[in-house]
Amino acid sequence: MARRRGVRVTVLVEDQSLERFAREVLLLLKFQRREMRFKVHPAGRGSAKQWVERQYPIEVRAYRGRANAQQIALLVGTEADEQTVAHRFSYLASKLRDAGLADRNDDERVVLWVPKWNVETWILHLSGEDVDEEANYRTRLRNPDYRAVAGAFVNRFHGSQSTPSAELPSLEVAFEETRRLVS
Amino acid sequence: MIERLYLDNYKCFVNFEWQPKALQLVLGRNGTGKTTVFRVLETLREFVVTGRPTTEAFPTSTLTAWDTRSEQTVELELTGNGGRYRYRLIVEHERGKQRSRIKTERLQFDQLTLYEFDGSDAHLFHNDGLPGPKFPFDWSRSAIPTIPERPDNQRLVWFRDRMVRVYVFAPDPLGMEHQSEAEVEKPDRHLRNLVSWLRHLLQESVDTGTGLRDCLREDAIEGFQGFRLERAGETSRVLKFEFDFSEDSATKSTNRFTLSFNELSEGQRCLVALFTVLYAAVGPDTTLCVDEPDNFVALREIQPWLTRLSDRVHDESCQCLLISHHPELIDYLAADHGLQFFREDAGPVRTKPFEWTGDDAVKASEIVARGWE
Repeated sequence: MARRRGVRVTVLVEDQSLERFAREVLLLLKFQRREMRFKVHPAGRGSAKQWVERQYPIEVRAYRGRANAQQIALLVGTEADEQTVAHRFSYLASKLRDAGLADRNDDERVVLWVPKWNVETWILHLSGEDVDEEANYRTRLRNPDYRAVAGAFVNRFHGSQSTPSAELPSLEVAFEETRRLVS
Repeated sequence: MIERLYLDNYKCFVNFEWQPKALQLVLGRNGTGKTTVFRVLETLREFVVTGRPTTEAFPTSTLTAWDTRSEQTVELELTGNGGRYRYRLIVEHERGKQRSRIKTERLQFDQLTLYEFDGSDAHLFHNDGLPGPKFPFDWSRSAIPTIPERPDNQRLVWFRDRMVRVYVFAPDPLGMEHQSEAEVEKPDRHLRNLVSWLRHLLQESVDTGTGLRDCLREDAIEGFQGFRLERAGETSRVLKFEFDFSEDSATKSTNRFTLSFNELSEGQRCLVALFTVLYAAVGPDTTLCVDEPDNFVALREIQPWLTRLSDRVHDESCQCLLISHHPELIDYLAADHGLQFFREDAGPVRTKPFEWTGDDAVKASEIVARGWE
């Protein structure tokens, strides 16, 4: 399959695990590495979650300023931690309203990935381990094979378009969100 | 991985210790010794691998200008082969005669001595640390490059082979030759012999050509389709690049063209060099040092190389050390991987982690530009 030429994706994420996971997924979805731009919260410098919340309206405003003229997309990766995924979505929407911005339209390529607890939950699940969204697996992960995990994500994403599957709820939401990117 | 470099009485380094990480961006103002530490790593490689003479590797001009001592110390520690190597070299100088000689040289693996030179005799030790042969040796160069490989000195030989994989580059596209007269196994610091090195790499493995072509096509140069070494004489080869700016259109065949390496822009030549380095000089038990990789490269072209580099550092347990003043590299790497070199007035070099509070209003590169670091 040819690369998705010309679609420039800004990736705004809380940490390097999410960055790497997002990059591998985007590559497998045929986005070009040179069209990706990563904004990653540096480790150990305050709250990553709050940093993403502050950056999110800025990036949405920038996206809307260019989206009519250029093929661009915004992928935001932020962890739910102890909150629900729905709560995180609504909180991010409130950040847009606070900044005087409308919520996302269905046709906007603004994608939210919100793993329950953190991306490690997805990585372990996609690696075939038996996990649920009740537990926090952050400390269990050592040097994951991001490419293989992203491959599982993309395979299941393509599968999820035809048949409903028994995925983690937050991953199902991510698949729905990912359709905004590839539509 | 190189875990520690210690320098004493060497140029602007006095009692200086650096503990590099797997991925590190070295920051600092001009004249703070960033390039010098890369050169020291390169010098050590030449000293223990090729037998570069002491007077060339450590000339008296490398003594610290304000220090009156005649002894210079260099120590290198690296992990690998299931343990930790410690190499220690003391060079003694005669300032008036501009002469330098090895005073002592020692290589240890964990607590075991593998090699020792005391100024007159070289002592070899077996892998288990038991004494081996002892023979007189010249103090004008290290005996390590001369030691033949044997079953009982595998640990020493591993260290020497590991030092071969300390790569130091400062790409200079203006000086890169476009034609190769022969294969070259060893790239030079400025990658002037890139085409000859590439010729060697392509000869060694077909996969290198395929992998590099894919990298360049997908990450680096728009419209790039492939490259080939074209015969330009009995032994000469010229590096040619094929472009196609209508990959998805029906008129594909009409828009193909070929350029020689020297017809690419400086930035494109630099990208070819950087991706070649990434492809050929990054792997397990390798240390790649690149001094200002961003020179000549457009702002948005460097992050794909950086992300690929950081992915490979993670995946292949290699080490990559970078020097840069470029805002793109600083903003991407400094907060997590930055180390600041600094000097108080013109005093000795010191280091500290790069300090950035995560403030949204002032980027890491702006901190550097303002001198707030």
